[in-house]
Amino acid sequence: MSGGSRLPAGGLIDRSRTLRFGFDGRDFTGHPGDTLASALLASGVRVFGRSFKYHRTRGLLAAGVEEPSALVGAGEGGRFEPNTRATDLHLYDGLVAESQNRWPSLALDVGAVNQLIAPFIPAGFYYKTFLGPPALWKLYEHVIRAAAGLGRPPHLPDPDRYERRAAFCDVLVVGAGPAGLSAALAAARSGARVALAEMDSRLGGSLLGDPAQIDGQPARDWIAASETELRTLGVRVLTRTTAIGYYDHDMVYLAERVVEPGAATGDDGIAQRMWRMRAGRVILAQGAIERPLPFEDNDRPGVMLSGAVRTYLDRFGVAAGQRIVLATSSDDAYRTAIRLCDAGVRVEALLDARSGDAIDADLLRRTRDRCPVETGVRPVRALGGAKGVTGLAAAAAGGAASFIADVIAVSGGLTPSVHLHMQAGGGLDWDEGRGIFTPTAPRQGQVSIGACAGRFGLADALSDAWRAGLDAAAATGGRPVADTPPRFEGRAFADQISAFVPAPGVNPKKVFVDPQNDVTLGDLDLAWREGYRSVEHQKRYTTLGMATDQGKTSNLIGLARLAQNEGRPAPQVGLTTFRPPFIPTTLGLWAGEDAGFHVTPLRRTPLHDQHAAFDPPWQAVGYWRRPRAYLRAGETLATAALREARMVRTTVGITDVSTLGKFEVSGPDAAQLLERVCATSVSKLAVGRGRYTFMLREDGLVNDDGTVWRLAEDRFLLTSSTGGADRMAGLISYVRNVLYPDLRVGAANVQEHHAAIAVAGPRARAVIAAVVEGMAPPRHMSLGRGVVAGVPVLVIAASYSGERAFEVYAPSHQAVAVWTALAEAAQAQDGGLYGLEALEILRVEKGHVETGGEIDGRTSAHDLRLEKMLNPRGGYVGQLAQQRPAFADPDRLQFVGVESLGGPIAEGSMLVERPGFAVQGHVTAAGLRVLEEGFVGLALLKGGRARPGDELLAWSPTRTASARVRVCEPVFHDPAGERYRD
Amino acid sequence: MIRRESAIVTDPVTLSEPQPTRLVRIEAFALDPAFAEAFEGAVGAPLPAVGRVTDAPAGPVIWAEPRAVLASGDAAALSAALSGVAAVSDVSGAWRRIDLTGPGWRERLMIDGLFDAESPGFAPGCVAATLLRHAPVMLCPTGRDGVLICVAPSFAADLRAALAR
Repeated sequence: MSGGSRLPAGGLIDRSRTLRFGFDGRDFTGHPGDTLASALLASGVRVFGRSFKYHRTRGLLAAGVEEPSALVGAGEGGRFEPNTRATDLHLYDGLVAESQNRWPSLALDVGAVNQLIAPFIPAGFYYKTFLGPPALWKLYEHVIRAAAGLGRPPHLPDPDRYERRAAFCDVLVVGAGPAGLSAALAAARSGARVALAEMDSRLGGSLLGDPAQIDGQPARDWIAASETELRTLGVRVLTRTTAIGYYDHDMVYLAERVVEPGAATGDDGIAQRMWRMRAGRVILAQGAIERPLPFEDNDRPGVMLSGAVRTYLDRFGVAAGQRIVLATSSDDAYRTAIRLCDAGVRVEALLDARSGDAIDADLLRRTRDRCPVETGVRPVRALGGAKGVTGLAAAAAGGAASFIADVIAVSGGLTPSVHLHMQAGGGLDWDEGRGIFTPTAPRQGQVSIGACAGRFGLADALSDAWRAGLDAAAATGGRPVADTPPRFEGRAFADQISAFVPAPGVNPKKVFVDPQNDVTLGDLDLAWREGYRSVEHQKRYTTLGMATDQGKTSNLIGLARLAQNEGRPAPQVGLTTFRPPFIPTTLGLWAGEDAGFHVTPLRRTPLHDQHAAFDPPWQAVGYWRRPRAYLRAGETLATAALREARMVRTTVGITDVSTLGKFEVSGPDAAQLLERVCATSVSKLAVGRGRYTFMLREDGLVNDDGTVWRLAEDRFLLTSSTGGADRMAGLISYVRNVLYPDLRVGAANVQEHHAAIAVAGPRARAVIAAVVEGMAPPRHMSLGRGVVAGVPVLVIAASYSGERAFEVYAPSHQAVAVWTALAEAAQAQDGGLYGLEALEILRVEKGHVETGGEIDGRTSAHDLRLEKMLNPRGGYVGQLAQQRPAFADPDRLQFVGVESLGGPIAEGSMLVERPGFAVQGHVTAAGLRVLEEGFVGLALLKGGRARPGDELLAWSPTRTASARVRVCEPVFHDPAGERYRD
Repeated sequence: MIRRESAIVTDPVTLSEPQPTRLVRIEAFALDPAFAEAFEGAVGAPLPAVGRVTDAPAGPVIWAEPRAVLASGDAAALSAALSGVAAVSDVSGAWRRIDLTGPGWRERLMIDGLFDAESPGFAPGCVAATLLRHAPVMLCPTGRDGVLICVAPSFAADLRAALAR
């Protein structure tokens, strides 16, 4: 018999209850407190999946999030989650899980044929496929793409919610093992606002199941008492919550599993929650990860980390095997051997690579009292096959030996978890003797304590952590208490040596470093021989550490191998970057509520519901939504837009322009401020009059455009484009508060205070006259005040369409009544509503520039034919920058019109002599003539202002469209502006 | 509702949206004693300190920017009273009020929020300008169990729906 089994007693599971679950179609049972891994191990399952490349069978290596091999798909339907570690999936009733990377079954996998061709597909083999004839790549590509990817994505929409939540604290403690608990207690007792994040479902970390005594009580009792006290002190205790990223300014992202992968959610529907925790100080107590030993076939099911074997025993009451042999280079495996023997599990031998005099005599004696211990012995090869190990061949100075075993528990020493420390910009020191990097030089508010700082002894961890907790509290305004730290009086037994080099004679091609991606020592050697000497190149060439576990158990071994090949110390070889997230996370967790309809916020104009009643196609304009057209039965968007544009040219149309930027500038120095913000003159504007204006950036290029209106001697209304509204708000604030803070002026952003409705067309005046009480329709570029439907309104006469036109401004919360009255009056004049598409057709024909089109951040006033409007007195933002030599370049892109000599002009077309020739410009907007035949467009063309009459090709290969065009003046409709006048 | 252990406690909240009132933005030409005196005389309350709200007869006066506050009142009257020391603009349509009440209001503001609404220091008399569910808002605690949220009208519907979820 071989494989794991449940022991009759022990573990932190609830044996009074039974949970039923399925794995690969078979039914199993477990208990609350189990993980999927522990429950399957207890049921005798040894093989959990297949490796990525060679499809070799894989069992459990670890018991935590570092597990590289036992990946499963969990859940069903839209809740299915691939690549979930069986060791980090807590059991629930009804769990359905499946193994991965096998077909048709785990036992019989077609992909295992890759093992036969392994010599032909070493590290980087697919890069070499690029070296052959291109035609062959077509063949390779199909095969490689078919084999790529691990696990399968869900095919149905995820029914659950993912929440994003902000949180703040004085002290964040990451990890609730002995060090984390000690630090949290110290900080909380000192009055700090403390948060404690623990990835497990319970606090205690490595202390769970440990027979240690702390403060004179069993460790489990101390954990429980600590948790009670922390909660009483108001500490935010987050379990099943993993710190996945440490960002600038001590922002730590915490991923909380509200329910286990694949499980149904509670009433709130939340599956996972992302905490964005901003902390004053961060105490990192993430512990350490055990690393394996290098020997042949060390990837076989049954090769496990020593600490994991102990965890399955103490935490879950599971014996990982019936006959266990341990191979180690550290003290930690002795603790496992002693615990196994005390639990009645047969330990064949403990093999220590160290010599006997390097091992604590007391530890050696205590272990030898229970099982055979051989020193100076190193593992050479795992015996057995795809179903699991059957023994271990080992080598010693005096010869070879072999042991029968169904589990080989290995310990190559502990590696501190420095991931978050490094993400926070910290540095590392190299400890050659122990073969570890330890954190140093923190750049932010982080401090590492306990095992993640390389302090593996329990007494040290508790006292260091206590001090760190007091210091963190003091640094954030707390008053450190005088209490003494938790006390552990036992001995640490925490020595280890570097054990990166396999025993002599071991074939490196059979020694696995990264068992998920099937990277061997031989692959690393090959990469080095082929010139990949940088640790970053080695990683990418071999895929070492690129699996879902991100090399938690393998990176240091790979680094040591590179250092050995290079003949340099490990620190000189360097490290790959520690990037978030620390563990794989679902995409839903990152998206939060920003999914589906809520992917971006929706800004509604005050008239949104009036538009929505027509169910129009919407145009996204930033966060805004504006109707593109109001379609009638049988109309397409294009025909509706043309009908609406013709309506504006012949009768009257109204449209919602509430999204325009609007600013009220008032005070004795209002004109002065505007003459600094705007590049045109303002101060000479008469009260009641308005004019077109535009603004420059500090680099002299055009920023935005709009209109400016003098409402009173010391009060102006400035409008800008929808897209430029926020940018203009910033510019005005900058000029007012930074450049000219002494001006006696106020500048209020009234974009959302005013709704704005444009009324355009030959009968627009009639509409205004019929609807607006108390004023006559103002003449072009003048304004008036009146009342519509009882609502006071401001009416300005300005045109974007090229027709006689007005804009009616009303307080946004009263705009509906105004809109209704104007719409009815327009209808009475045979007019109606028009949308953005018609607006665009009309402005193209009129030749008005648009922000985002012709004002594209690269054009100057001269490029846009606006130079005559520049304020001759200067003093405006961007004035001096216009004198830069580049502004006089004759090849600048300049604003022109283009008229088609054939068919439609595609927007975005390149302007070229012939296809393939140099690009001379591009079409920024195009449309058809509204009342006449033909197609026209606006464009930016090199030296365009001097090129009227040139003929070019407007060519759009992406739209497979082209049209011969002639360059012309950019005004196609009413060049004299006669239609503005009554 | 209490979820796993003590990590998450979601207490009920209620939302209400009062009718818009007359709201003005007052921007001082200079923060000097002359303005402070004129302001108190016109508004009936002292100028609020940075990040604070004061109570005036017509309603709360909310600090908004280094030189600007929001107050309730008639724009023309206030403009006349503050002539020469401040600019007054009618912004009645520029802000929508949402009253969020109930013991869970602080926690509700942390969901997709950025500001530390759970800080005990964030109490009545404070105002914070921040983003909530992507929307620019001003938050003014009104008591132990409530907060006034001022939001641009264009964002109001989405924000209200999100807060009600």
